[in-house]
Amino acid sequence: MKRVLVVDDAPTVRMYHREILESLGLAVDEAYNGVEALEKALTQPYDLYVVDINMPEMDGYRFLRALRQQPELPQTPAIMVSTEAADIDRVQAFQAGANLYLVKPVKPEVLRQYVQLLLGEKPS
Amino acid sequence: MSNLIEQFVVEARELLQGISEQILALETQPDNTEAMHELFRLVHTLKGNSGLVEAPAMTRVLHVAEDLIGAVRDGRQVFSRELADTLLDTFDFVACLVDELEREGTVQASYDHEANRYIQQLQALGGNVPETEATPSQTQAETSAETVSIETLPVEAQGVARRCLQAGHTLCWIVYEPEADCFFKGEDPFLLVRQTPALCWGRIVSRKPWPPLDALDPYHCVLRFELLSEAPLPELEAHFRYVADQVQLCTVVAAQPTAPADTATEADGAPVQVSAEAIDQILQAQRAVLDSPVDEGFDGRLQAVGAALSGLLQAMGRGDECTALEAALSEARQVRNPEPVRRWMEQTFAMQENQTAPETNQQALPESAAESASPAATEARPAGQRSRSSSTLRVSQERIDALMSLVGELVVAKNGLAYLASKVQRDYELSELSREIKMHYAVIHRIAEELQDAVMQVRMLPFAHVFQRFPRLVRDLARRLGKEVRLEIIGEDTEADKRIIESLADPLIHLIRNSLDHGIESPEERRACGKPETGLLRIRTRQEGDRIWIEVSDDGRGIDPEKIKRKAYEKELLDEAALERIGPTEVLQLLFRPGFSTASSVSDISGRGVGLDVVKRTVEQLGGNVRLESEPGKGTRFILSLPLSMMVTQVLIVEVAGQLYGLPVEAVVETVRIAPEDIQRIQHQEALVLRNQVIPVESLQYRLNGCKPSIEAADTLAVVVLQLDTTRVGLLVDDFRETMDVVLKPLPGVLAGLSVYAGSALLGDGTVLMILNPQTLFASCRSNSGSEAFASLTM
Repeated sequence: MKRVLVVDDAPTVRMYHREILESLGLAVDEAYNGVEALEKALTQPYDLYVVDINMPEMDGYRFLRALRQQPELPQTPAIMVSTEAADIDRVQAFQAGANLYLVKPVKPEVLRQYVQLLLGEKPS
Repeated sequence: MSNLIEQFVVEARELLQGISEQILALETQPDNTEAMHELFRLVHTLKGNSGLVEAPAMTRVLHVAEDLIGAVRDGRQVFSRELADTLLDTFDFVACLVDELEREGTVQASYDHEANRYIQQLQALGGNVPETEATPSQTQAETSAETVSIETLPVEAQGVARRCLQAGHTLCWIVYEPEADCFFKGEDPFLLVRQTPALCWGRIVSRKPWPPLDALDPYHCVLRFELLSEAPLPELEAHFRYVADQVQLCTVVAAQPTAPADTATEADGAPVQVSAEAIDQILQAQRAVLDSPVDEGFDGRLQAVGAALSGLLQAMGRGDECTALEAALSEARQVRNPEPVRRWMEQTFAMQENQTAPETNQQALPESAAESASPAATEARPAGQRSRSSSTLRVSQERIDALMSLVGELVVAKNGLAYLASKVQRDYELSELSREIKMHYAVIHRIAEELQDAVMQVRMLPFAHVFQRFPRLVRDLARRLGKEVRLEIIGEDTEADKRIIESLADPLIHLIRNSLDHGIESPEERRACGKPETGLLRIRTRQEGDRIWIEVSDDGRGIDPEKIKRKAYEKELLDEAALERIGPTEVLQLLFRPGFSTASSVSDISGRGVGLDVVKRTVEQLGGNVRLESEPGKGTRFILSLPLSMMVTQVLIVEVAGQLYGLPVEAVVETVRIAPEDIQRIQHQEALVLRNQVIPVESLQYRLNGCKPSIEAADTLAVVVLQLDTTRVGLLVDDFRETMDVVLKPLPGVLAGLSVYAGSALLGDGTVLMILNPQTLFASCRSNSGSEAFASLTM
């Protein structure tokens, strides 16, 4: 079973993403901020990351930068999810190493589609 | 998704609490940047969350509020009192919406109108609206700027929409939800819809599942009209101008997969194909990653891009092309340049390539801007961030209650062993076995006590839980009454049982209102008395042994005993004789009598004649008591004393007419044995002189069943001296027994009406012990004939 790590400081958002991802038959883990996410990623590799930007202590940009600098980790796609629709945020996300940028709230069917594409699964 | 709503509601309330705290903090220190950033972060999170549930009105309001707060944070706006007021009002409205969401699972469009009002208020203060939002002073809000993707339309509408768009017409998606009571307002939604200009498609759906026929209210409109029209927007706006707040107009565009979700146009169940747009989005993103200037982590990014692209290939059924990708990746790794991958993408996805890529021009953005913005965003956040540790557990109250009642049963069952041990010893003379049972009893006793302690700990909450609302309450009340009040809270970390903490919220609020309304004077009056203009309201809690003390004190005008006396006389709570005799301490107790109110006029803040008696009753139900101290001109102090936990009550067991009863030991002052002749008659009341103090004596048996026991026959009499508020009373019983810890259970059903009993408890041998409530036991005694005698005796 493929594993996804959802990184967001708001429990509600984590639950929302979890329900969508679990409906695709994925195993979902959660992290409260970048620090916790990095700890989890280092203990156990994930096939996909769904990452918020604004989080306490370590935000999404810094988390992705740090993640991409771990040589021993298998690097897998990361989707950055944010409420900001501005281009500047989009650019920063890609510079940090995100492989996709989606604007919150992401519709379930939209997230499902992208996740399937990035994980190499035929759409249901 | 109901779990999601539940989670949202819980988190939203926490966020709202935090928001209100930060606003209040900012009101006293407008330049507190830490509070400002925290406020912004909380509102931002709440706004983000609200997009996940069906509450468009909430999201819109929060959006504007966030903007306004952002403006203040960036120094474009000043944090004024007026601004604080508006923000607090707005978040109160949001709290209402959260309640609505909890009840209904969705926030109806009927709130839109009210939401618009708040939005206008915020905008008036400078909350500029971002691009997609309504412009100021325009209630037709969402209109012009909003667009909707063709794919999010209902499947039935997509065909029509596509044809219209291909023909080059502008197309507008209209969602019209008439108000529930529109039929009573002379509106005809159906006619209005039929007259829509250039209507090319439409359907009527219900907003909620239809109720069963017998519950259906045909006068209550629950319909939603979904329409497509080719008419230009202004014409449609004009057509729907009388119901603008109930209508959403969106321009239909060809496709826009990442557009923010619009709940009104949610198209559940519309199948999603592997759309070219989605693939294109992913390709563009990978290109953007490859094109970004890289400091470190080049390999990592490259690998992640590779993973994304290989996933894409497989999803498209072109998995066999992965080898070429691998080759490009390893070449890129070697030359430390993403060019080979870029080239591979161009060749492989040639078809997508010729589609325009609007995002690519963003790469021209200067590197420094992006670099500098990111650390700033993180470091600006307050350092003392409370991080929600994932090791805490949210458990429902019922589970804890179930656990607690099991522990209670265990404590009682455990007492059975002690009883068994003494029975084995006494009836079967098996002292060896009896000793072993006792040993086991000791072990179980210890475990049970620890378990009980542990469960109690789980139920403990700090007083901060109820106190957190008070700053806002005091601020609002003070402002309404035109008074200046400073609230000082001491000991909010003191903990007590959840039930006690929660039940105390209302009594404490009442005491606060009382102080603000009657106690603390207006600034002018205070100045005239030589006091500082700002009054002080202090709430202090502390734990002493197994009791909690709470003091609510103010430095206001205090209570005038003469005024109370006059009032009590007017209300016929006292007769003339009693008026003469009553002491200053007893006078204050009159305030706790039902129906007593000293406020000369009934205000909406306190003084409705219900109040202090309710406070007293609530506190007594929790096993506590209230005392009132006051010094005219100096202030008033309410002192509440409560048990730490309600699990275990210590009772003194007494025997009357062959029956056992329990008396809470808090009320017991002492137990004495006296000779029958020590009891004297004073007026209509029997009394006892104990250490030069006259104590009225009542027989418990008489209190319970009206039979007077013959006291002359006995050699000695057993009297329990009880403390009731400020007076002492002797209770005549047949005999005393031991004191013991019991788990008090309230009486069930109709028996709960027997106020003489505080509840019942199980004894070790399985018999039921009735626990008496001394306060109510003597209540009737004091209020009728006895009152006169009491008053005279206690002098």
